[in-house]
Amino acid sequence: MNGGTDTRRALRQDIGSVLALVIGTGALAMVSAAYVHGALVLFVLNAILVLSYRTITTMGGWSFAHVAIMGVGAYAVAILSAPPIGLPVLLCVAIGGVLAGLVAMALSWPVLRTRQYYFFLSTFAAGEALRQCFIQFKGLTGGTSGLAFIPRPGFIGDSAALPFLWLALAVFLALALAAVCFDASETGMKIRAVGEDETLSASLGLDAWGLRATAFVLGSVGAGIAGGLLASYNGIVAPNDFGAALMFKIVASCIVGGTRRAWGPLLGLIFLTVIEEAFRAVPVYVPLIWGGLVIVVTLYAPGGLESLVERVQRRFKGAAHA
Amino acid sequence: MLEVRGLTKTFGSITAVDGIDMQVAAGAIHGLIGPNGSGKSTTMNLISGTYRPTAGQVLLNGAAIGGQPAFRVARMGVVRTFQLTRVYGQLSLLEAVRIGALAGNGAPWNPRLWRPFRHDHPATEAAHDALRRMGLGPHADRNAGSLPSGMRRILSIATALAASPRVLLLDEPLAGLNASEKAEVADRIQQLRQDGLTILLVEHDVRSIMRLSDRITVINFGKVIATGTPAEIGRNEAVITAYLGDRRPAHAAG
Ligand SMILES: Nc1ncnc2c1ncn2[C@@H]1O[C@H](COP(=O)(O)OP(=O)(O)O)[C@@H](O)[C@H]1O
Ligand SMILES: [Mg+2]
Repeated sequence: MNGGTDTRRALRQDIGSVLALVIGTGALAMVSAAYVHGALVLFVLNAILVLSYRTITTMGGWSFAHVAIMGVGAYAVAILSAPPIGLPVLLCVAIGGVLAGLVAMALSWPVLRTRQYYFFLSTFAAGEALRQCFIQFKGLTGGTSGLAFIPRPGFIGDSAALPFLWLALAVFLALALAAVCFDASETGMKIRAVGEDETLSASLGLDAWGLRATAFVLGSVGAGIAGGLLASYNGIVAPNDFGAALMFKIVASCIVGGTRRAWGPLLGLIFLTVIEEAFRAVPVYVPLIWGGLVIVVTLYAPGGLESLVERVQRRFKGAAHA
Repeated sequence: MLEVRGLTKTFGSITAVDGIDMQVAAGAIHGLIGPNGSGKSTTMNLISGTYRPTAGQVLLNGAAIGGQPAFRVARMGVVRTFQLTRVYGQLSLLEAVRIGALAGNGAPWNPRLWRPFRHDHPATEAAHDALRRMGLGPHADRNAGSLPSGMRRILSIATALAASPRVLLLDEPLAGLNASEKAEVADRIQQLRQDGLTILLVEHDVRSIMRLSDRITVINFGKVIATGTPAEIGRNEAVITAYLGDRRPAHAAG
């Protein structure tokens, strides 16, 4: 044994689950009616969000600024794709990702000074400050009413959701593969080490600050790209798109699914989305059910669905050996 | 090798470390002893960069390292363990120790280190080597979180060792262990010295430190009260009264 088999198997599993999600979503889109496609687009964009969010949690901090940083990408697309600049939409999405990363880099200076609850609070404050920027810089952002007439990429067409779904899936696939490879990298291992014990890590020579900042910035790039795609898909952005409700959905996905492995938050997101769709007739109950679910999971399965799945797997393996 | 000059640290009105001078010779085990609260751990924290000194200098081969952040100090070759043992409990022993071997390597924002880790990386061999040296070789695939306290302590030393230190700082490596675990850890420390490592050993257990150390510095209330060989320290009246009270060294070891 060289101790490497486990992490390699983990990478294979992660890649497998990403492919499964892409194929599953694609297959569902093929067999379902057109009105489902819109929900699938939002699901895939959320999948990018939770996966990039999970990259941040590996360094040991749960940010509450993720959707506000996503907003940076969204506004970047809204502004840069419109006249007088009028850049191609996909280029704007990429720029939006970079800008989101730069904003995260600037934020990391104050925000990464804090840990645990204080990190949660300081990122909450930073996120609200960003949202206030979206509201206050009216000339650029359109204030509370936001910006409209954001184009979709030219080759996609403006009416049907299905072509946009293929684009979103392609972007998800690329980002998710990058994320799971990063997770299995030397830097990914070091970030998790810092997340587990920062004092120990620093004493061994790990640049804890730089590693935490790297996780925060890379995760934020993913959020910016998701935001840019959302703006292009909706055709409109407003500050309220980036509020606490969406943030809660992401955090809840990570709690319900677990964050030890990349597929955990994805499983959590699927779970929450299924609940949301099942209660479509009475949407007011959805946050209530989500909240209840988070409490139940925190109390009875602190590692999330992930840990339950692994427990079942072990049980089966044990039975096979016996 | 490692030199401390006038090292001082105050916390508010408490002066935890008060002008300590100490010289650790290359290849030696240097013991640092003193009663509880006398400033041993604080001295460790100052040398390792966990705390910033209020005054004074820490020199490694003549170069000033005092006041640098902990990870820089570690990269310059001074690596420490903690009085309350710290290990990566969620990893296997091999993975945990390998973090030590990788720690000084590369910048976080280097994209070449963002690709999947290859297990034929030299750090894997270095980690196996550190585990073997500490006698943990057969347990490489065990989960670090499941170890009994003695092995946990040894794992923390193996992790530090994998970071290839020039000076190893050990903060009470024998505390809280039973007699056989103590003997085992002491043997491992002795072995490291024979391999040529320089060690600063903070200890409460007087018998062990007398046996292990080449030289000993005794501190009380943050000040050095004696420095010398174990034999000299054992005879020193100031040490006996200040540190051991009325008891003789052989009895104090418990
Ligand atoms: N972070 C701190 N803040 C305030 N006081 C501290 C801190 N660390 C240590 N001290 C104080 O410094 C003194 C020396 O502590 P320490 O170095 O841990 O002693 P030792 O390791 O010799 O038992 C004690 O009085 C302790 O209360
Ligand atoms: Mg102490």
